[in-house]
Amino acid sequence: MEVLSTADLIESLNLGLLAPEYIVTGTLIILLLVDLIWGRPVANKLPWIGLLGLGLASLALIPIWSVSNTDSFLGAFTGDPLGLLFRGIILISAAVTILMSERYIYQSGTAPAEFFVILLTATLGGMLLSGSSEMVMIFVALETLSIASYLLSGYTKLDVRSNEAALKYLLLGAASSAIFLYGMSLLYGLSGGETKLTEIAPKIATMGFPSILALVLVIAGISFKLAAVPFHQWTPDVYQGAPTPVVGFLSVGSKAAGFALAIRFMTSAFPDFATQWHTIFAVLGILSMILGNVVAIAQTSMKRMLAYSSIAQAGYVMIGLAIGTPDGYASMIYYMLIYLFMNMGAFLGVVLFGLKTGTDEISAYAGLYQKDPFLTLCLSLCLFSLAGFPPLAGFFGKLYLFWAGIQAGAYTLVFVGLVTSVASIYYYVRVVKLMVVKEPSEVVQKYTPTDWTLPGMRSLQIGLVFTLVNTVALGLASPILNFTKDSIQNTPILTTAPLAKAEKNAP
Amino acid sequence: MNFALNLNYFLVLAAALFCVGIYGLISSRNVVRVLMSIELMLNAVNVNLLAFSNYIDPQNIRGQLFTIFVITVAAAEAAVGLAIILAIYRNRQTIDMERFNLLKW
Repeated sequence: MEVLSTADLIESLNLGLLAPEYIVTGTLIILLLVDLIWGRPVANKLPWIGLLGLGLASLALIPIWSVSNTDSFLGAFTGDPLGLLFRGIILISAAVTILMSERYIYQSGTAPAEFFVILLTATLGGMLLSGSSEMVMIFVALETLSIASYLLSGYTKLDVRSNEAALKYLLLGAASSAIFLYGMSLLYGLSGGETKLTEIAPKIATMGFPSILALVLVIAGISFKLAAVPFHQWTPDVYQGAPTPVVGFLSVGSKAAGFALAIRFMTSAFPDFATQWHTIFAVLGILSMILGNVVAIAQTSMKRMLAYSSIAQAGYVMIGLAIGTPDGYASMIYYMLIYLFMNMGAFLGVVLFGLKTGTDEISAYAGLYQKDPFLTLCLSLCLFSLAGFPPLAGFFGKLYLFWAGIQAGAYTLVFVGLVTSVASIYYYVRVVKLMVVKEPSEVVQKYTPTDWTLPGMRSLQIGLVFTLVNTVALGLASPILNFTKDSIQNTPILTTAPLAKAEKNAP
Repeated sequence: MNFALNLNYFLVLAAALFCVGIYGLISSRNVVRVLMSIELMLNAVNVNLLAFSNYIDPQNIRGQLFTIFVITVAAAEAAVGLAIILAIYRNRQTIDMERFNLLKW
């Protein structure tokens, strides 16, 4: 074994690739210190410090784009374009979550500093997860994200629903990560002591059943994060009980990290089992699309309905994973980006309505148009976009996903996707119709005009306008799709695996 | 008969531990017991990793390293879990799983 000098060692770690993560870490330490030193008087500055940090971290992603050597920390972390895009998505979702949580925290009377610190920790975990390519790293990053998420969902600790959501999330989450770990320990043994995903692949290629067992266990662990049916039971409970801004983050940031992990783990550790995992994800996708959309119809709570809707949306994204073509991956990322804005927009609307009325029952939204046309417009556009109406962004996202599916010959998947999308229109439009057509409900009759000058309301307004503009405009901006396609082309693990490219799998 | 310890014994032990953990997870009503069952599952993974590390990878001992991380993270998870259980106990005066049914459709 050659001995490296310290300088060479540091050089070989390629530390620069994690610059955005350093900035996020720095920001969360600064937040803690600022709160410790100045305390309550500066509480209203904390969200802006957080946003500044996230903004700087997003800027720090740009120079990494053109780096040729993407291996960092001796191969434990990969800074390839695929990971970069997901890290960007997680950063934006954290930023929007901060915007929507400022007023929520103020009104619920909980401590703001800890909330932002835990949120940034979750962001950090998600970002690391998007790039990790070594099993120990994957596990630690996954748990950073998960444990921070448990804490966030139990953040309003005097609320029994929030307690219950956190408890269920923790128990199921810990159990699923134990299953994931068991799968990884089998991979470690089967590969003869390798922990890097790319080095595992050639060693397990010829092993039949044991590798499949490890594959199944790993997919079970990842699917929990994706909230794919049948690993979705926690989703509606947690989404209903947890603080609404947290739910926004869980439904987008945490899910994006899960998809990044799924793509990287499957393509680099199981390229020789492509047929098997394509089939598994196809089945999970079909189940998610059907169950998510059907059960959402029966919901009476807005947050619970959005929970089932998010299960269904994850099902659509899984089409890209199940076909495993570069176009499929590109449209997955494109859809995640669009989903980020439309889903966050919907949750911003729910937060605003919940803060003013204290309820999230769907029936309470009746007649909102007469009292608050702006909120009605925001919610309606986001819900229409989630349903996939042209010319909103959600339509184009679905179009590219389904088109990639058809090109890969996965007609069953696309057919289920189309049919369930049509069914989903019913429950999205039902809410819009209720808001516009019906007479005001008792709750809405007491509704007062929104005072945007109250503490924390301005950031809520900025968030609403930001997500709204993107929900409308993003679909018309085709450069973004080409951009995701380019980045997939530049990602070595997705292009050097010949099997994943050539496989055509239509279950 | 050869009673020398070989890898299989450890793997069977780990699998058995893991199954006991899963059984405890689905059958316990006391939340603390559920948490303990999860610890069992994580320790099954540790046994697996250590056995593989010892028999297959004695040079690099990556498995032992992995185990240290698993133990650390499991401790963090247990701490957060107990904190949440404490919060819920203060509000509800119970830690019985079947009484936590506010969230249902």
